[in-house]
Amino acid sequence: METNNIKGTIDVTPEKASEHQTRIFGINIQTVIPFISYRWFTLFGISAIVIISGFTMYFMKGGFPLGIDFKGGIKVDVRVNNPDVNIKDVRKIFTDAKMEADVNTVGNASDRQYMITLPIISSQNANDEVQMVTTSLGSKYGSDNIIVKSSEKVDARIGQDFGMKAFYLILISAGLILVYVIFRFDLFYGAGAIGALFHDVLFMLSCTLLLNIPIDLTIVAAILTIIGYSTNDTIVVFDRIRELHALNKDGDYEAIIDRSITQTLSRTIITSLTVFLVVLAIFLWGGVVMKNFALLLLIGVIDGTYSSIFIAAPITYMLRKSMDKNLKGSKANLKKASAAQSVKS
Amino acid sequence: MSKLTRFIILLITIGISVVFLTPSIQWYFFLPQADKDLLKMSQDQLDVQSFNVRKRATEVKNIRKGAISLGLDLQGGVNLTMQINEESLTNLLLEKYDFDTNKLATDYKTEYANAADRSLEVLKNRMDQFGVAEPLIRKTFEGRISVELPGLSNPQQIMEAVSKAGRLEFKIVDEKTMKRLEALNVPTDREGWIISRQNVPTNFILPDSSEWDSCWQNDEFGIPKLKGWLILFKKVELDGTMINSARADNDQFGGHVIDFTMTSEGADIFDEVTAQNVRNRLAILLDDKVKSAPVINSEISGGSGQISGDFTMEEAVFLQNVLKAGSLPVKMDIVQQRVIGSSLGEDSINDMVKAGLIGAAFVIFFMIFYYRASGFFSIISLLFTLLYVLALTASVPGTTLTLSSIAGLFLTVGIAVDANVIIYERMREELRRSRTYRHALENGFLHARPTILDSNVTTLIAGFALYAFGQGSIKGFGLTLCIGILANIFSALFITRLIYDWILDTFKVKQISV
Repeated sequence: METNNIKGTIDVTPEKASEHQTRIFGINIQTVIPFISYRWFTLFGISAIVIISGFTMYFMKGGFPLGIDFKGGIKVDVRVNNPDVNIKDVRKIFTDAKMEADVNTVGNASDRQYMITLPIISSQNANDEVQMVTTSLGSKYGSDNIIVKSSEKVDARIGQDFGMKAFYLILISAGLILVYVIFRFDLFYGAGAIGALFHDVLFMLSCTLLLNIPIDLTIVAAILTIIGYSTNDTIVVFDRIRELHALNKDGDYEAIIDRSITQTLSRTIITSLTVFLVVLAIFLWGGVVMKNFALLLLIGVIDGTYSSIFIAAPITYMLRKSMDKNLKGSKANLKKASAAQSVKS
Repeated sequence: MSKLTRFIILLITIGISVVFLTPSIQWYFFLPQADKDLLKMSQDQLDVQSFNVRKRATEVKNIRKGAISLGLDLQGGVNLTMQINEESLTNLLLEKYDFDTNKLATDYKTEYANAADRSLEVLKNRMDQFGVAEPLIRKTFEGRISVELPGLSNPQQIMEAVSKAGRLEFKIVDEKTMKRLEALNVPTDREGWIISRQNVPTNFILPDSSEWDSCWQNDEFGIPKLKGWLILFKKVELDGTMINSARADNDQFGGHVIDFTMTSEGADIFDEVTAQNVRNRLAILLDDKVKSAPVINSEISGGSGQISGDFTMEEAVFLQNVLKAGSLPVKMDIVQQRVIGSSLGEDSINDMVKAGLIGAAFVIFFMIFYYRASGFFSIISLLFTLLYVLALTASVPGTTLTLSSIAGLFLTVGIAVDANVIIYERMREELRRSRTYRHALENGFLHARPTILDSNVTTLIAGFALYAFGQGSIKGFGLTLCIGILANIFSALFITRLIYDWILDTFKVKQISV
């Protein structure tokens, strides 16, 4: 390499005034933002409110709205080529036929496409329910006008297994991430990362309840993607905290964290923004199949960014402050010091 | 590393990517439909085609194997998941155990697993009857079997075909007619099977009492492959219900044999058939396909016999399963069924590509607006990321592009610039305290590297968990995510850096806007 003579070194030259500046979109941020001091408000304010309202909804509804992947059932995506069709009439057809069908419009109403979900009626013949749907619709709108775009039938037996698998999948990912963070950083950072991870999962599950999004396999994929994304974000912040802490072992830990978050803030915002834009495009133009997936990702990107700053860092801070013996000013350290003193006296 | 070495590495990676992507480009953009339709022919249909057609079919097949395949949600098709009907299995076993419920309780788990294996063999044996180029059949968890049939839309016909139990029959080989063919110098293989019906003279006349039957053996991946032909008497001598048990075993010479026993009714018939056909071959057919044709060495009375031959353990277990499929014909339930119309698939691809392009345009615009020249470099490295992702996806056999994996791909675009953002933000920080641009560049990359690695490894872990423990579309999504991350790390740390060094040195630029 031509540039071998300039070795990358960690700069320990006295800080210039400009070093405290962070530029975000051309705006100079002169001071360090005191993120850590907001911790009570964020941890027990915003997050708690969303998650508690999620829990409330959970008990009010008696559980999560499950897609047929998990509870079993039939889903028929059907297009009716008849200008007179509207969703009210379609619903009425099924109530008249005493079928517990849930009818939703797919895409624009002008597409005349409907998603019909109903429980399994006959477990013998796999195609019965689809036939029933098409004949019911066909009797009103003409059987030639009914086009089945897709259909899906899941037996309840398989559904339960899917549910357990999804649950284990989240636990396994969380476990592996924890091990990696503890290995590369330490236990306190690991706790922060896992705290943020479970916050993300709870937050997103609460949102599915609040927005009434049925949980299916794509939603599980969205949650797992956000776990990865959010941890990624958390690690970038942690990485900076670790770096600054190593340079200044005796510095005020709270100030170090605040400075780290402020310094990485522009990166955090830009990355979130680019990911958000892509997901927004998928949400707006990606077609009906991906709608819920993209919506949950949109929420997740915001939540993931938020949780690395306002959940992961404060948890690490509080734990280290009370338990790390090596941290100057920590409770454990103070206790150790006073114990040593009492022995002396 | 010198710049030259790095350029060579770059060229090698591009070369490898192009090699991996060639079949996909050929398949999706250049191959005429007529050629693609060749793959829909079943192997025994293909065998009666002319030599050129068969050669072309092999070529097309190889292209197809190397090309990225589209998932059912993109090209339409039927996906079924089947599970053994436990009631029918329990009843069959109870009968077999003389209603000994204790024995049933202890053996049930093994019998269930065995039944699942047998059903898999039976289903694989039937896959070619649907006229589908790439039927996909595999075991999923807990003895379930998943079947994917792209391009089909009528599940009724498929369900009928897959849910019935396997039919096992025994027929005697028409040795006299086979001898006549031998006299005509029609080549046969080691097993004495006629290699191809192409070699049979057109004026050869089959006796009315006989028929051509195809012979099949599993290849190394357990997929049945057409191996040759036999002429059998039409008469069914015995059927599977007369088999009582079958077990693969070792013989005293270290080879593998299959021991089997007959029911009392079967034993009598078997005795008679073997007495009349000593030195003739007895063909074992599963759903009209010959699986084995051992020679009858002597009359077998008492209802128990042994098939010996040059078997590997896999082959012996396979034959044992075939024999058992006849004796324990379990029914299968369809526990999951998905039918995706091809029009929905087309809509999905169009929507997704549109969304992806708009999303990518947003990102490109933003990066160039915010980072100027460096933003432009990150777009170049992003293009490389996409190239590598597609190439790696094509290189992993059995990877299918599904709607969710395309979503994963576009998500990679969003996340891909992250590594560049980390580098650029670090460089901006370093520029504020460094004296020289070079110094800031060095430090920027140096300090960004561990951050990029650590942060991406965690995402990689989540992606890996999805790939390893998920299934179906989730699995594909996880794989795309992992591939995307790896490509992304390489592009950001290697290619972006190379562009910088190249521009700075070649054009003697003092600094590049960031």
